[in-house]
Amino acid sequence: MRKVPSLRLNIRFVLDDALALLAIFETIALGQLVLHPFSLYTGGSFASYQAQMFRGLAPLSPILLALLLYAWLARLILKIGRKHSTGLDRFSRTLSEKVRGLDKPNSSQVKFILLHHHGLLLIVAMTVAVLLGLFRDPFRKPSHTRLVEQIVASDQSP
Amino acid sequence: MIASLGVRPEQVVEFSPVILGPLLSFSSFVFVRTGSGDKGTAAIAALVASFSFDVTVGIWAGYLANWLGMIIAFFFLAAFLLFEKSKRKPIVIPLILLSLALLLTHPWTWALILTTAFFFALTRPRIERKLLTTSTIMMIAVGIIVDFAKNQVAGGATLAGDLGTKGPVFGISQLVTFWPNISVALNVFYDGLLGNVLLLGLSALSFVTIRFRDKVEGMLACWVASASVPFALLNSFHQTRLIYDLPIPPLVAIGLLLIMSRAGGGNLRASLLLLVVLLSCANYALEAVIQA
Repeated sequence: MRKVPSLRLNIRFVLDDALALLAIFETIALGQLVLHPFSLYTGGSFASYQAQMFRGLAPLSPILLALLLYAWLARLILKIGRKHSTGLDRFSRTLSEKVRGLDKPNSSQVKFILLHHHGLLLIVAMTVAVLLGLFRDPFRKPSHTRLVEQIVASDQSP
Repeated sequence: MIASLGVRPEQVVEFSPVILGPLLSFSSFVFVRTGSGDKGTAAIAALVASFSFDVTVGIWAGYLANWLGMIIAFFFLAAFLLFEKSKRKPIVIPLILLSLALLLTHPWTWALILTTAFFFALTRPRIERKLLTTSTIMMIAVGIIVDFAKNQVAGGATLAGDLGTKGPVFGISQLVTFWPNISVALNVFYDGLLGNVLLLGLSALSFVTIRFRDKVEGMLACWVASASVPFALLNSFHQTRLIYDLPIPPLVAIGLLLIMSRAGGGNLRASLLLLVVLLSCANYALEAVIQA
């Protein structure tokens, strides 16, 4: 009989490979944006595919924002509801255990080598922020004008 | 002061992101490090801060005062957490100075941050509660007096006066159109820069799963909860201003670390995950700068 763990091992490799491919894709897109900013507007470039992917997922953002803003309210309602309903209490306990399991501090977190270089990461973050501030498209349109147009349009919509 | 040095206002606006960007990263780092003591999470928060809404929308819309307000807010809350930890009364003086700096920079952010500090104080154990709530009320009172004095000396609207003008964009009528409002806020304004699924998703993940174990998590919960109440009652444009004021970098850092530690696969997978998220955020930020 064949060993099952080998299949699990393959799935792990697939996940790592997928992440590596995604990292390569993002790196090329970033390189294109830095070297040729207008590649964002030309079809077929990695940068334009990345922008399309970002825009394609944007409809999910209201749900995620609502979840972020009102998760505390849902928790509060659940807490009050538990006092009045045994069924809800049981459900809430099960859910709470699952979530708590997810949130439990993992010893592997301590072993992340990358996070030991926090000073270096901070310097990288600050340098990247400076470079982003210096990066300019010489032909850019005035965004303030567009913002005023957007406010006027949203006020006129029912 | 800057004008007296011979620098034109356009140059100040043009090059402010070069100073505000790294300062935001540093302030996020200080806030998370002071609150949780975890330098790794703080470093990730600093990295995420350099690609966050504060930078992208800040550059796109020129929200420089609001951006600086967020930097001061992180420093203020870090000082507040330090005060809560040490209970040394002399810390109140820098706290008041930071509060006033925030008020004079961006009054709406000041209102949100002082509300956050007040609710955080209320959630503390009874021994600490009295000192923290008294200090926060004192800072609010000093702020109101300074705001009034500023109005008398330099003119301009007070925060209360400005609040009176918000009648048409605030109320139950906005709650009825909550979903269209939130969709417009995220997908129409600033060319849809606020609709970043990665930043919002990781923030939501961290907020759903955190157990408020450490102080920074408690502070973040109070911050988000303080913003969520007026958010439902405002129109879409004003909602965007509240989204801008959310503590996205620390929340994303917590969410990302949660996934990294749960994904298994050791350092390789964790590093790949971190790399993919950061590169994706970098692409998003660069696209925002190009479009601005």
